[in-house]
Order: sequence, then C-alpha cells, then structure tokens
Amino acid sequence: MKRVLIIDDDEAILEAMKIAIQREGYEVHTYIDGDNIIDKILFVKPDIVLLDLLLSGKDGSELVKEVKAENGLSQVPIIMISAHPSAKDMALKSGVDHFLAKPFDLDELFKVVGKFTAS
Amino acid sequence: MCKFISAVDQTEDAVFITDINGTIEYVNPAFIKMTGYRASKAIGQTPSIIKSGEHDSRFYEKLWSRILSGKSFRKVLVNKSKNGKHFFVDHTITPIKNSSGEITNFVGIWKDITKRKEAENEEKENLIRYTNLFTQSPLSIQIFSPDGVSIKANKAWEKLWGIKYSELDGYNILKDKQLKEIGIMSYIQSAFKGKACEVPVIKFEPAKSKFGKANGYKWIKAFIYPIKDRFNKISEVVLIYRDATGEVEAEKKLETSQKQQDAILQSVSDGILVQNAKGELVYVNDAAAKLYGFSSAKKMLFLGGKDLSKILSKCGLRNESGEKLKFDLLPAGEVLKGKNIAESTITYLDKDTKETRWSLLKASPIYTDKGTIEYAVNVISDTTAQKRFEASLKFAAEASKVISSSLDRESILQQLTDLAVLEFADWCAVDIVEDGKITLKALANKDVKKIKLARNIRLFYRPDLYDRCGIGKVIATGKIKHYRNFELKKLEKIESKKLRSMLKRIGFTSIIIVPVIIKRKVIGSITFATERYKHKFSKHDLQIAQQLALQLAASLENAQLYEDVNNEKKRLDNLVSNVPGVVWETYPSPDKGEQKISFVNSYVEKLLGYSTKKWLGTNFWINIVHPEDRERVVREVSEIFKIGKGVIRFRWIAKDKKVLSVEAQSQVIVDGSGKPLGMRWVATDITEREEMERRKDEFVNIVSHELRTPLTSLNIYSKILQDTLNPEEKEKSNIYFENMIKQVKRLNKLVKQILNVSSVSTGSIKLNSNYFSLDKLIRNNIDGNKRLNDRKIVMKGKTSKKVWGDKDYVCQVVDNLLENAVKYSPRSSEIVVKLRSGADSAVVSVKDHGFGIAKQYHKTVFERFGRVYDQVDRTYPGLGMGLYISREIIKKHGGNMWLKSESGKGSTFYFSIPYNKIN
Repeated sequence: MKRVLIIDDDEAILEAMKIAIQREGYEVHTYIDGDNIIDKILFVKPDIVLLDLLLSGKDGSELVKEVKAENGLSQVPIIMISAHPSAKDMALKSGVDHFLAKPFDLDELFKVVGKFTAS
Repeated sequence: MCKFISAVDQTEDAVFITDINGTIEYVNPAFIKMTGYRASKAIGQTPSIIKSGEHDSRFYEKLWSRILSGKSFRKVLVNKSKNGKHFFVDHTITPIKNSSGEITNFVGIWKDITKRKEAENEEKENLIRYTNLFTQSPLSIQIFSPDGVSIKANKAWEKLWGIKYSELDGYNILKDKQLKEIGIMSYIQSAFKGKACEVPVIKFEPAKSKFGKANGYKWIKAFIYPIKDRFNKISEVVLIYRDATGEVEAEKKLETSQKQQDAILQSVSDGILVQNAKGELVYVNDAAAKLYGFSSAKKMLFLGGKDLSKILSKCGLRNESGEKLKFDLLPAGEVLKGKNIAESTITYLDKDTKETRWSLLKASPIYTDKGTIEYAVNVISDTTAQKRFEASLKFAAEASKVISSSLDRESILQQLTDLAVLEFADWCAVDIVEDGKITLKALANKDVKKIKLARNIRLFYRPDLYDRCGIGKVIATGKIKHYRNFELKKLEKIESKKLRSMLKRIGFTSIIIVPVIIKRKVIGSITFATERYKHKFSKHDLQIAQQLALQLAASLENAQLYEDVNNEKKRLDNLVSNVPGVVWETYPSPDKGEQKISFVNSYVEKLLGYSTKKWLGTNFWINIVHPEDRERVVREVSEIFKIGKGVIRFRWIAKDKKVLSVEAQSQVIVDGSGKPLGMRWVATDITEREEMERRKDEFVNIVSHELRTPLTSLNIYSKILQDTLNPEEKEKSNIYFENMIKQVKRLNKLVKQILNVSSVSTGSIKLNSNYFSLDKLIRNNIDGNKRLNDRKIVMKGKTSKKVWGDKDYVCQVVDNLLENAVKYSPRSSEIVVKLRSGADSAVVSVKDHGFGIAKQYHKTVFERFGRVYDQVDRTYPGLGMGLYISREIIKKHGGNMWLKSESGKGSTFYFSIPYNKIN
C-alpha cells in the first residue's frame, strides 16, 4: 500500500483529503503544521508528499528546499498545493514535482497522486 | 478954286492931274502918301512911274483910246509904290475939256483898295482850306440843311459806311426812327434849334435807317452843331462823328471782364482786400468784409471808409496766440514796408455762429511800371476747417497715445476727458453704467476751479436710465444728442432750485452727448459742453465727438479684454498652480530633436522637491523617471505623439529619492493648421491610489484564498458523500448531489475569475508560452466542453501557422467567448467560430445571433465589471469580468481583442494572437 503524507494548516481540507485518498486505497498520514518536516518525512517514509505552500510559521518553498537537500529524501515526490495560482512558478523553482491550485478537482488529485506513486 | 484945291488936298483918295500927254502937273498929299513919291518928283513924270508890270500893253492902249475919246476909264489897277510895294487901287481917269470941247487935261483918282483885296484873298484861301478839311478829314462830316435833309458828306463818311454819298438818297436826320429809338433825337433836334452839342456814344445800324446799302453796325461818337449866316439864321447843320466801335468794344470788354473779375472776387470764399500804397482800403470783397464784421463789401466801404486801422480795432481779430492784432503787424503792413510776401494766421469770433474761426492772411504787393509798390493785395482764406481737422487729428493722435499707453480704465477715461477740454470743449464728462446705475467716471474742465462745481452739480443731478432727456436718455436709447443751442429756459423745468442756479452759473451754450457702445451694448456716454459766450458745436464737432466715443469704446473694450484676459490668466495660473498635479509643456515636438520644457507649474516643487527653474530649458521630467521605466516611457511618448494624446504610467524619483507612481496624460500641442508643435502633460501622483489598488487586490486575493480552501474541502466532501451512499439512496439523491457539485463548481469558477481579475489588473499574469496550433485548441475546446454540446457550433476556416502563447490562458479566452455566445443568444441559433491567418497573427472570431450590443457599450464590455444592458435595461447575469480578463490575456500575448455588433443583430468578437513572440 502506497503511503501519502499530507501537510496542510487547514483541518477541514486535511481531513477531506485524507478520507478521499484513503478511499482510493492509500495509507494516509496527516500533519497540521510543517514543523520538523524532515523528521516527519523520515518517520512516515511516504511515497508522496502533498504540501500546502503557505504553512503558518514557515515558508513552504524553504521547506521544499530543505527536504530536497536532505540525503535520501530528494527522490520523494513533493506536490505543492496552493490557493495562490501565482505561486506556481516559485513552487516549481523551489524543486517541487508538481503544482496543484486550490480548488482542485478530486479526479485531478487522484490522477496526480496515481502518477507520482506509480513507480 | 482955292476951296477946291483944299478939298482935294484933304481927301484920302490919291488925285493927280496930267496934261494931254500924260505928264503929271499936280498931285495931292494922298497921292504922295500912297506912292511914296514926293510932289516934286512926281510932277513932270508920267504915271508910268507907278506901273507894277501886272497889266499888259493892250490894257494901256484900251485906256488911252477911251480917255482920248473923251470917256472916263475905270478899272482896278495894281500899282507899285516907290519902295516897290504893290497896292490895289480903284482907278478912275476922267478927261477935262475946255469950253470948246477940246481935251486939255486928265484927272486921275485912285481909291486904295489894297485892304479890301487882301480880305478877299484871305476868304478865298479859307474856303480852299475848309474845303480840303471837309473832304480830307479823317472824321466823318455830314452836312444837313435846316430842315434835316442831308446835303453833303465827306470821303471819310463814305469810307465809314462803305457807300458813295450819292447812294444816300434824300436822307433826313430828323426823320431817322433809329435815332429816335436810341433816344438821342433830342440832341439832334437841339442842334437844329441852334445849340451845338455832343451826342452820347451810340450804336448805329445803317440798315435800320435809310442809309442805302450800308450794313453792319458802328459805335458812333458825334458832335453836332448849327452854322448860322450873318443874320443869325441857321443855314446848315454839321454832324461830325467818328467810329468808336473799337474803343467802345474794348471798353465793353474791359467792363465785362471787370465785372467778371469782381463777381469772381465777390464769390470766392477767400476774402480779398486791396490796399493802396498809403495803406488805404481800395477794394474789398464780401468774404473779406464778412471777416471784418460787415455784412457786405459795400457796407464796409461805406461804414469803414478807407481807414483800415480803424476798422481793425473794432472787429476783434486776434493772432494765433490770442493777442489783438495791430494794423502794422498785418501782412499787408509788412508788404507795404517792402517785404515781398507776408502771411500770418488770425482768429476771430464768427458773429453768426459764435464760433472761433481761423484764417490765413496772405499779402503780396503789386508794383507800378517804375517798380514802386502800388497796392498790397490781401488774400484771406478760411482755415477753420483745416484747423479743426488738425485739432481733431491731434486729438485723435493724442487719444490713441492715451489708449495705447494704458490699459487701466479709470486712467484712460480721465486722460481722454482732459484731452477733450484742451482743444475741443470746455467741459467733458464720462458716465458709465455700473450695476444698472449711471456713474460719473471722469470729469474735466479747462478751468480746474470749475471741476468742484461740476462735481457738486452731479450730486444733485443724477442721470437715470428712465430720464426723458439728457445723459440717461442717450444711454437708454444709444442715440446721440446734440443741443446746438442749449436754451437756459429749459432749466426752468428743473425742480431743484439749487441745481438750477448752479447750472445757470455755468451757462452751457452747446451740448453733445454721445453714447459709448461696445458690441451693440451702451455702456455709458461722453458729454461735451461749451460755456457761455463760447462757440456752439457744429456738425463737424459732432463727428469728432462720435469719433471720440468710438475710440473710447475701443479703448474700454481693450481694457475690458485686457482685464478679462488678465483675470483669466490669473485664474488659469491659479488653477494650474493649485492643480494637484504637475503640468508642463515641452517643445519642439519629439520628431524635431531634443525637447525642452517651456512651462511647468509650481506644484512640481511640492511633489518632487525640484524647483521649476531646474525643469525649464531641459527635458528634466524624463531624467527623473525611474530607470526601469525610462526606456518604456520614451517609447510610449513617441507613440502618444503619433496618436495625438494618451496616458502613461511611470515612476518618478523625487529629490529625496522617494519613488512616486504617476499617471501622466498628454496632449499634442498643434498650431492652427494642425501641425504638431510640442506636448502638454499633466501628471498626477497615483502612488497612494496604486497602494490602494494593491491593497484592494491583496484583499481580494486573501478573501478568495480564504474562500478557496473551504470550497476545496466542500468539493471533496460532497464527492465523498456521493460515493459513500448506497445505490438505492444514491439513485434518489443523485440529482441533488449533481446540483450541489454544480454549484460548488460554479463557486470555484467565480473565485477563479476574481483571482484572475486581480492578477490581470496587477499585471502579475505570467505566461508559460509555447508554439501551439490555435485550430486544434479550439476544436478540442468545442468538443470537450460538455456544456456546449447541445448548441450548434460551426467552425470555419483555419490558420496556417502555430502561434506563440500560453495554451491554458488562450483556452480560457476561447471558453469565455463561447460561453458568452451561448449565454446571450437563442438556443436554436448557431454559433460560428471562424479562423483566419493575418500577416503577423492568427485571428479568431466568435459570432452569435443574440440581441447584440449597442455601440455605446462597445467600450464598456471590455472594462472591469463592465455590464451590457438590453433595451429594457435588464442586466445579464455574471460578474462582467470575463471579457476584461480575456482582453488582458490577449494583450499580454501582444494581440488584440475587439467586437463588431449592433443592437438586435448579434455580436462578433475577435481576437488576434501573433505568430511570434512580441518584445
């Protein structure tokens, strides 16, 4: 079973996404903050990370850079989800593997998750 | 015997006695006296001693034979005295016989008739002389019998009339009707009555009298006298006359020419006055007489006599400076003193019109043959009109000086009135209408002391627009008023006693009130007046007054215009300097080299901290544009210049290094023919506005994010909910879920649009461009969009090249256009999408058959939140952002978006996308 890590500061989204993805047959872990994100990734060992860009307290792109710089974590696909379509460039620059603008369609989410966890 | 001898001795006749042989025996004393021979010498001689030799021998033979026959011999003899002198004697020789009858002696008696003979000879000579005189006289002489019949005429007569005397058949002067008609018969008759007389010169036409064939006419000057015999009885009447035609006609001519000359001299307007060498008046014409105060030349000659100085002292002529003229100082006086020509100007008061008049007096001498001055001729020409003209010219010149020297209304008025009283009038006042009231604005008088009096008068006399006369009436009607003879009687109507007495004290003679009219509106009046004893305003003066009024009107209009312009300028300056923006002008136009700022308002100091001086003379405004904006600004300036006007936004760096955002509107300055000269700019500080906009966008951004997150979860939950339902329940409630999801999607889309608007308006759209096929994109869009499936959409044409752009954004634009077409046109109608290739770009059009868009909305449909209204002003649903976003997207691609539409006839929206990337 593929493992999905979702980090979002909005509890409602976090919960909805967890339910939806679980129903698709994934093991879902969620965190409401981005603190110690590397530890969290190391602990969960996800096949894919869904990350909200603007986590309270920390800049999402900095987080991405940190994660991608960490040994052994550079191969973990990180999907950036944001309510700011304009953040797409910045996100791609920081090294994320895909960008999803809120609000997104569930089918689209499933498609992306499926694609990056296929290998 | 003794007695006898004594008698013989005493007789005056010479007596001598001889014997029969003729030897003298006795002589008496008379003989001695007559012959000069003494008795002793004569006795013993024969009478042959006194032979004169005048008589021949036959005479003596006859004598002797007669006396020897005893008869007496009597004959006139011419003898010769002892001293050789001839003398006539009546000679009688008588023989003396003795008683036997024999002749013994002869007695000779000589009567001395020498004196008688001499008298007889003289008479003869006289007759010859007179006959010659008669026949050869150059004068015509005609002799008449006492009953008037012509007896004789001389050659001169024949010559005069051109006929022979013989042709004059029985002419009787006393019966000549012509002479009677002429009226000289009485003269003729008196001659026939014995009185010599001179006949007046007559014009005689022989044809009218019985004068034979003679014709023509002659002027005749005649003398007629009677000739009487020794009994004092008239024997003949002599008429002597001469032809006076030439002289009469010359005289007539002379007379005529003199008359003409006189007529000319009388009729010329110039006065002519002739003085003799003594300075006495010898000729004057009417004009000159009038000048000197006489009604005619005759009266002047009659009343003034010859003494000119006396006349002069009475008539009040003055020189130009107003001094009384003395005779000696007149030009004629100088001429008589030997000057060739002299002249001077004189002034006098016309007694009829009471006007001051001017004359130029010019004198020139007339010389005799000997070169001495005989006369001085004065020509006096009236130069009043010229003087007045000069005065009016001077006045006009001064007036225009005043006008041009000042644009201050009050000072113009005062200066003009001051001028008017110098040359033209005694009084001048200007009244101007202010707020419907007539107000005295300027007043002048020759006599400064009187101004106070006049101002006092105006305290009592306040002209009103409802007045029936005077200033009020003139201003109300705009018609000039000329009181040539101002009657003091009129003043009686004035109620105020004080005013009446003040006006009487001034005693106006003549008044002119002229309206001052600007643009057909009476704005006031000028009043001119003359005082007691001064001249009355003539028509000429009226013209000058009108001219002045015109000039005043012009100057006031100028002043008004100047004031208006000044006020306007002040207002504009004020406005411009108070505009919360920088206003500046640059010259020349950008295509004519480097521009320089020629004007900038003072706000620039407030906004940017730079002084206006810093701006002028350079193109400073460009220098302080933010370096990032500068290149674009320079490009946009030249674009604006091409179009004529435009708006650009850029950042300025103030003196304190603060960055200011400004929006600058520009207008090209053109000359009369539309040629560009420069540019005018108005820049307003939009830093705050931009900040506000930014904050608003940020707000929208945040709000929409806040909306998106719950929407995302709502979306997910509704889907999950739908999935988790069992099939039975699902069937029942599926339609509700569908609706719910549809509404969530719609909410999603709205939020997306709001976000698009904010990103478009902040310019934060980032294109992810590639070359792609527009045809394919549109085909996919039509096919893939389920919502459009039930509508007939026709795709026509194609593009030949791929375009450069962001597929997602372009897709959004196509989506928007198709959605609009569906939304705003009837279900049954088709929608036509057309593609074609332009030169640099591909063009897509979407045509619907909807209600169309009225022209007035063609611009607003592309504006942010622009709405389209149909005929009944119903708005159509939607936020009105789609077209705005679409156009901004297309613009970002370097393309364009426009529409063609008419109300009720459907709409066609176009957009173009360049094939290649636009810098």
